[in-house]
Amino acid sequence: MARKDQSLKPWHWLLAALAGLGLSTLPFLRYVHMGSPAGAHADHAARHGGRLQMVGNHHLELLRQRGRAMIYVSDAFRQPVEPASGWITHDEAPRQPLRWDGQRMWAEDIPQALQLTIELILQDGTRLRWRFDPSDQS
Amino acid sequence: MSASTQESSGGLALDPWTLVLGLFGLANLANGIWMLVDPVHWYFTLPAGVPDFGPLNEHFVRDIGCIFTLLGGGLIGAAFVPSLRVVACGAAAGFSVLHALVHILDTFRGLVGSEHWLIDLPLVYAPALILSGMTYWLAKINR
Repeated sequence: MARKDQSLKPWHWLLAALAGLGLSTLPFLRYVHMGSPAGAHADHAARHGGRLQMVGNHHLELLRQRGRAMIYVSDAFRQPVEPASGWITHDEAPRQPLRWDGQRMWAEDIPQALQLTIELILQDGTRLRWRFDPSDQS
Repeated sequence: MSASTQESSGGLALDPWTLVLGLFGLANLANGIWMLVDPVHWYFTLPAGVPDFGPLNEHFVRDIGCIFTLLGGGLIGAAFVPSLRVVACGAAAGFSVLHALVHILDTFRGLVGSEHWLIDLPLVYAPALILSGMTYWLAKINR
């Protein structure tokens, strides 16, 4: 049966308990980011003054300006991506197709619309969908 | 912590390794059960910014939960059974080393920036080294 070794000093047990407690944090901290990495995959900054959202491994940035809703798409490494096609829906209005202008997808905006749903199909067939609600974001 | 603190092979022991491996095992087991039972809650609640690594995949969270549960159970068993210690600690070390290799690969190929060499040091690379050292230590004790 179990026995306690009497030759051990209390500090041995204290040290063991501290080591065990230290190791016990490991499973819960395994995914912690220590610091503010500026690496490609961790770069979630909007680059065009809009709102940025990760959808899967892609970054979508929505910019509503001058009567247009513009969507900048980039991959995990922030390399620009040209979608094959896309649509935008303003609130309950019928969805309208997005057009590519060489830098971004865009469509006429309805400024008073609160919720926008953006659907994109990438060249490889990947589908991205983002329901944008300004009240969800700071 | 020395060989004199352990029972003979096959017996039960209560020594400092019991504390080290037992606490480590309990945490692994708790994390694993959490991942298996409620992967969505785990994904959003774990104080580690898991969503930073990508979208939730409940199936994969449960897959990883199986590993943590297995490691936890093994380490708890090894806490009291010295003959299991090298194997259990070696499995935990192996998982940590493989996990560290994945980080090395992702940093080399540019998925994360080069600053991750330093960022990942305390919670990825150091644990892999510490657990490998513990396994070596236990193997030496058992020799």
